[in-house]
Amino acid sequence: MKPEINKTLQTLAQELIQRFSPLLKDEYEQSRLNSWGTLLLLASMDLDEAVENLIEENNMTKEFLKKYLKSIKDKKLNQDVDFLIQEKNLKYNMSSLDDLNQRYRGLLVKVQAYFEAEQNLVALKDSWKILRVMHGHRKVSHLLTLLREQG
Amino acid sequence: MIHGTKQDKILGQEFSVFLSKKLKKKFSFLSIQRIFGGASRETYRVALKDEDQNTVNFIYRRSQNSSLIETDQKTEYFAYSDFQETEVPVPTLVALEESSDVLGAPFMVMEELPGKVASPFDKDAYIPHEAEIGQQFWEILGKIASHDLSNSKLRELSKEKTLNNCGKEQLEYWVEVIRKDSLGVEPILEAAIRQLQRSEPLPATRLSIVHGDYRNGNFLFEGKQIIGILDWEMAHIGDPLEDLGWALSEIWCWEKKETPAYLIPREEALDIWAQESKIEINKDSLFWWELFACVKGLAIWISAGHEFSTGSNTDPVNLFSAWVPGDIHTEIILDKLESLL
Repeated sequence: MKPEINKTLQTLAQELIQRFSPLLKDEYEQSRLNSWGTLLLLASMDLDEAVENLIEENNMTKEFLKKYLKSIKDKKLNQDVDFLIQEKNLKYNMSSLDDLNQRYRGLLVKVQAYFEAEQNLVALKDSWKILRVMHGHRKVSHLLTLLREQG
Repeated sequence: MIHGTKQDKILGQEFSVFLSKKLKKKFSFLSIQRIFGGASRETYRVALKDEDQNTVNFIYRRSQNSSLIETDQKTEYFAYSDFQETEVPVPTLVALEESSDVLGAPFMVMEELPGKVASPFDKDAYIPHEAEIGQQFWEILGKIASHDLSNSKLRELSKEKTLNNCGKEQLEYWVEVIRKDSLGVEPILEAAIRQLQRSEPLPATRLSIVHGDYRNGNFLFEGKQIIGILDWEMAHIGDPLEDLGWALSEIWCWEKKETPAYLIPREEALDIWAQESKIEINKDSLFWWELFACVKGLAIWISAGHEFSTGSNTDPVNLFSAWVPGDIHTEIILDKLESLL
């Protein structure tokens, strides 16, 4: 078994910050390299779970749209939702999952706006649960302490 | 694009020639150092030797080919002009050059002030002087809010502004930035925009100079003293609650939310500001401006991500902005909007 990509990137980030950055005399260039190291570290942490997160987001959104399809009386929006939830996703590479995720997100925005106008609080509350999960997947703010230490 | 020590030296030498002509003094070039951080301008510290062999330090702020915050140098220069020799501490202005012919890009020059700038994400930056610095921080913002506009140069740039259109105009401006630069669909941000469009704030109680980025990390301090308020490139005329909403934002005190800007508790901050500005704070309007601060912040971070993705500016500060502050502002929106459900 080969060393994992995310572990390799983490080691590279550490090398940049701890080994190469101190060799730079220019303060600006040194700060810039440290930032690159820190961002590389963040990216490496995200890498491992990225596919799983997208699948979960897409499934959650699909289930939500299915559940509330009958409550959407706007004909065009109802058709768009119905069309997307019927679609089969057979590809599991990042770009395909991300593309589908963007389409789900686009429809979620429209459906939320619709339920806001209809004042459907139950549906809205359900939709916010999805947004909370989506945000949790992208969240890096809890790593501020780590960023400060690396920087 | 100018980068690297050698090119910087050439720039520094050209700068000293410019300043010698401008101030009719003979300067010789000593050193130039680019200051890290901030993606709207390239900022340099330039040390020159004057005729009496004294070292004089200048801050040279130069427009970038690609910039997140697309305001001209004149805006920032006029904002600094409005506060020269007032109780709002700012660096002394030296020169403004709007043409790219002289040094390759428009720029402004200021005298360097002493002191240091902290990271807005450092919760311990002002320990043990949070109380003293906090008092000054909110007082100065109150003074900015109550500054008389009758001789304001900045006011000349935005005469159309009225008490009724401050919120709408700002929201439209930043939503347009989002529409232009967004790399994907952001449902949380979209919900915030809809909420702001549904619920405009009350008319402003007065028109004021709005710094536009008043927060921890944008001022110089030494010990317990604030020395200078910096980074006025987003300054404009508007509702004074706009700056208050921005400065109070939890993004600037993320690890200690009860003390905005990592200084003093929120209620104390609001009292100091209200007393200094003599403006009564309407809570609903302030909520609107605090939510607006998240949308404006996200517009800036989205722009940063766009600059990075398109390759027009691959400074890591752009990637950092899109990832970290972008996430924090999104979470603040989530909390605020969920509280309304």
